Amino acid sequence: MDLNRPDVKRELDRELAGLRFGNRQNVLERTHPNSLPGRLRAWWNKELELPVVPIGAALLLLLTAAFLYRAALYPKGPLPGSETAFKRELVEEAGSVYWKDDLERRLALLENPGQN
Amino acid sequence: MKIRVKIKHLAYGAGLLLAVILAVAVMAKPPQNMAGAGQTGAEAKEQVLRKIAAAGAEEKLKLIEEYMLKDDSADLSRAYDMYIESTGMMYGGGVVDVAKKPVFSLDEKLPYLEQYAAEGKPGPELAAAAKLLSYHYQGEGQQEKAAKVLAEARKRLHSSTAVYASNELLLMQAQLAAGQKQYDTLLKLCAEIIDRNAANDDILVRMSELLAQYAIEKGEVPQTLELLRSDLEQKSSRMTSGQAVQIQKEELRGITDRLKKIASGRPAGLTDVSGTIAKANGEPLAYAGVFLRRDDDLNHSMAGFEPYQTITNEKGEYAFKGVVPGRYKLYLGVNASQLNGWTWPEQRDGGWIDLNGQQAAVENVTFQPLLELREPVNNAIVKDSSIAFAWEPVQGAAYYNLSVGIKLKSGSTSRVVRRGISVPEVRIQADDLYYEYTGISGFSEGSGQLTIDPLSLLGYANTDNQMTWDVAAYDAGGRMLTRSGGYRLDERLTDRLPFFYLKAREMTEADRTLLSGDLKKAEAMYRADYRKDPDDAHSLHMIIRLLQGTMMLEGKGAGEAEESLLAEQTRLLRQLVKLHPAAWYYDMLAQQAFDRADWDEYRRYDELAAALDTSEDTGYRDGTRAIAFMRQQKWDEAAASFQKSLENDPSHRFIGAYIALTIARGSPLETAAALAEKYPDRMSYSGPIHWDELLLAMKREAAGQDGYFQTLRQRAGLYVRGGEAGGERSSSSSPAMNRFFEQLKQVK
Amino acid sequence: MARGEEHGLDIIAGLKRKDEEALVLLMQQYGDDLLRTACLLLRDRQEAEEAVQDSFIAAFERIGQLRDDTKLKSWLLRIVVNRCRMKQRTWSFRHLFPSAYVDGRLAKEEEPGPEERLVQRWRSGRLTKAVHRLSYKYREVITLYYFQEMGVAEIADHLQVSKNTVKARLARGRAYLKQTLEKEGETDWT
Repeated sequence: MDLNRPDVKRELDRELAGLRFGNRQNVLERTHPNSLPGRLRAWWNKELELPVVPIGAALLLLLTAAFLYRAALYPKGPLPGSETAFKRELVEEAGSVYWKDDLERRLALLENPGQN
Repeated sequence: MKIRVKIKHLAYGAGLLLAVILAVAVMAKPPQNMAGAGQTGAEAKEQVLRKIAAAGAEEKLKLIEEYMLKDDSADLSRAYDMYIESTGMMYGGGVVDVAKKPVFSLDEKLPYLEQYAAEGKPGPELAAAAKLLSYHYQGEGQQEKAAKVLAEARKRLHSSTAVYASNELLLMQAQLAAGQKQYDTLLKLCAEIIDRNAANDDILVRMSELLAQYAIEKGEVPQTLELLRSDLEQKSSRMTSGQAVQIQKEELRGITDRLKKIASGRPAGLTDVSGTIAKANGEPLAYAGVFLRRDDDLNHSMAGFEPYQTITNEKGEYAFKGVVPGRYKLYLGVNASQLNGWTWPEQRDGGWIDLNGQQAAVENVTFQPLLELREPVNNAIVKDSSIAFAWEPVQGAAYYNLSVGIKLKSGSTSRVVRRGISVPEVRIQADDLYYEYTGISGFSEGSGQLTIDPLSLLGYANTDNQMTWDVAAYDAGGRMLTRSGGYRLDERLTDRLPFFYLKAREMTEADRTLLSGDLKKAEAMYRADYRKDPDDAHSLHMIIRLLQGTMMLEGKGAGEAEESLLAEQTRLLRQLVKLHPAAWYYDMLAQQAFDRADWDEYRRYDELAAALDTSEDTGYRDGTRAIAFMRQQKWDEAAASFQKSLENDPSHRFIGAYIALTIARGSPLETAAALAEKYPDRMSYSGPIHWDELLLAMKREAAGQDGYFQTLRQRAGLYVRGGEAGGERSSSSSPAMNRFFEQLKQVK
Repeated sequence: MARGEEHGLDIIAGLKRKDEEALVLLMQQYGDDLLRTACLLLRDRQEAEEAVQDSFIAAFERIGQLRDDTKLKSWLLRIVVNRCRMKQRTWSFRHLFPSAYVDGRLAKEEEPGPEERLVQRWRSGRLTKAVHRLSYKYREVITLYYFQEMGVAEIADHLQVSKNTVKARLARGRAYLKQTLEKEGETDWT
């Protein structure tokens, strides 16, 4: 069987002959609404052309605002459980008890860190 | 780029988005969104309390559990950041959890604990709440209420699976009963403990401690304890080894001995120990942990089964009722921020508390503000031939003691280098420091072989090693007022770090070789240097140090090799003292003479050493002298020296020898026992020796054995003269006597 | 039927004036053809109807965008093809809110008459069915090539793809069609 254009076209025409576009009323109702519900419906189905970028930006802004709002409402920060409760070490050096990180930081700042 | 969207679709989309945003904003709100790192503690606590107030009944309990009970606060041996005694931190270090949930003090938790105790679900948290409440009431002096809250909590826990928690409460109740001398209640509770805990030996051991209190007070041993004791004996003999078992066995021994002591009818009683923990400015240390630890427990870490633990009340007061006689040390549990800028000055007798059945004992702890150092600080480099130390003066200080320390491979070491300094500054010659004695320490690298730490050999002569220093201030009576070592957990307190470098001398090639680890080569180099220059005191000093190290490694009794090493050392020392006389050189020579029983030499060197020794601690010297006299059979001089030593040395390390002396001289055991009690041994390297108990054991053993005291006296005589009186020539029928002489070997 | 040139200019002018009459004429002239195209592409009659309706409305509103008056049919077709594409993609979205669509239909449209229902229950022919079997991208080119009788270049322009892509898809589409048709046995076309 050969799929040449004219033959196929003819066949398709034949098969689709029964299809007729009859819903003109709908279209007219929407383009020329004559009653309030009609007009409302028309408006409800009206199409808008929206530029993506500004819309995307607007959405992002909205979401950020939502988050900030949430943050402002609960300014206490992260959950105590989720925050990795960090550990500090105590060390005893030269007779005193220091925070290890404090001590190391101070020692690092000194001029003569030494050769230890 | 544009898209086409119908209004209705836009509306639907927007609606959906709105719904999502609302959901996120409202529902995802975390129920515990409270304390944050950036928020102040007070605000965070406020938040939590508000939350609790606003929550429904069930939620309330959950929150109380979360914020006030889940933090180990009822387990005193774990609840605090630091565990300290007067000489410093217990473990020498620690890890603190920071930025967790807000911390509530005991009085802040109070109403919530009450609520939880009444309504909370039966479980470990309920027990924790009850414990804390009980401590609180004890602190208020309301003993009955303290007991009641425990009983009620136990009732609620009755059928739950929180067995351990329930037992804790039971024990605490029993402890309270014992302290209140409510012995009927005590026995009832003990019976219940035994009933429930046939298999839990830890609990049983703790309980038997309580029964010992009973026994001491009543002067008799309750049947239950005897049964318990034999039960435990059986169990422990069946158990395989392990730390817990070991500790329990020791516990058992202690209890058994105490029982025997009671049985012998010695007068004893329980003591009420109380006190106040505060800072010098009057501020109390509220809700701190207080631990009265027995000398037997000091060689292991704080454990839950130690009997005397409590919390101070809001005025810093604490009380233990009915403490069993013994030797104790006070430990405190504190949080990092509480002591910042303060220090716990060392006590005269090393912080020991001796309880001999006196009615009451008061042990206060007063923290003092830190002594601040001026210079040299912050890694300053000192190049002069002398070091100028300076610090802030302390009001009321009669004199100061200065210590200097160095870093070692593992840890550090420090010595008092100058005493009795009357002004807040002193100049120390670098030279003096170089020849200062440092204990030789070793370390073992992975291979397990012990190596001498060259840092400990070179000591203060090492120009590359960071040095530390600290000062302590004393009043005219010799009591420590304050010191520079303490708790510095603050930016402000770490800006003058007591570290410096002493670079007044040049390190020699030999020194550097030593530090690199090649000890043999270094020794050769030192010898070469010394040969070149016979006035080279440093090289000579180092050769002697190396010899010391070698002898330490080889151990005693290496025979000939050791003999020759010793001889060489003596020779060299004699040279060195001509060049640079120092106390410890003479001491070494004295020691060698002592070992050879060359008493004249010993005396000569000992006196030379004493003349140069700035140390106040003459206990050791007197004790050694006493033994020297003993060996020479100069009993009276020996006794006098022993007395002197024991008076001055809080560790009473020579008491054993003194006791042996008195026995050898024919005094009755009672005299010896009295001495043992007056000067309890506290040399705790392997646990203190309880001489009084050893004597007691011998006394009992003597019953029914003829000639027991003869033998004892003979053996003591042998020992005193320097012979072997120990276990080998023993008869198996006197194990107590053998034990006595075995322990005697440790006295030196 | 010729590609709408006869009444083209009148219609366009009328549409620009927002004339109802012009719209009616437009629908009369192109409605069927567009519907049939949409049906080939979307398989579903209702969807196709919707697509075409929306296309007419869009055309009506955006008549101003038509640059070349002679290319009215082509422009309409472009709109329809785009619509169908969009519909094809948003198929899953539709499933989320079926009610919206159902609502939209039932509430506003009159109950379809018996005649309509018959038409809706139309059974597609073999060839149509075979075309429906193709996946969308092949369906597009096949429909435009065979049914709309467009050339490769024109198709490429409509679909915004390269000519080679069109050729490749055509070839493949044809091959599949053949396969499908052969499976069902021989048919007498004529």
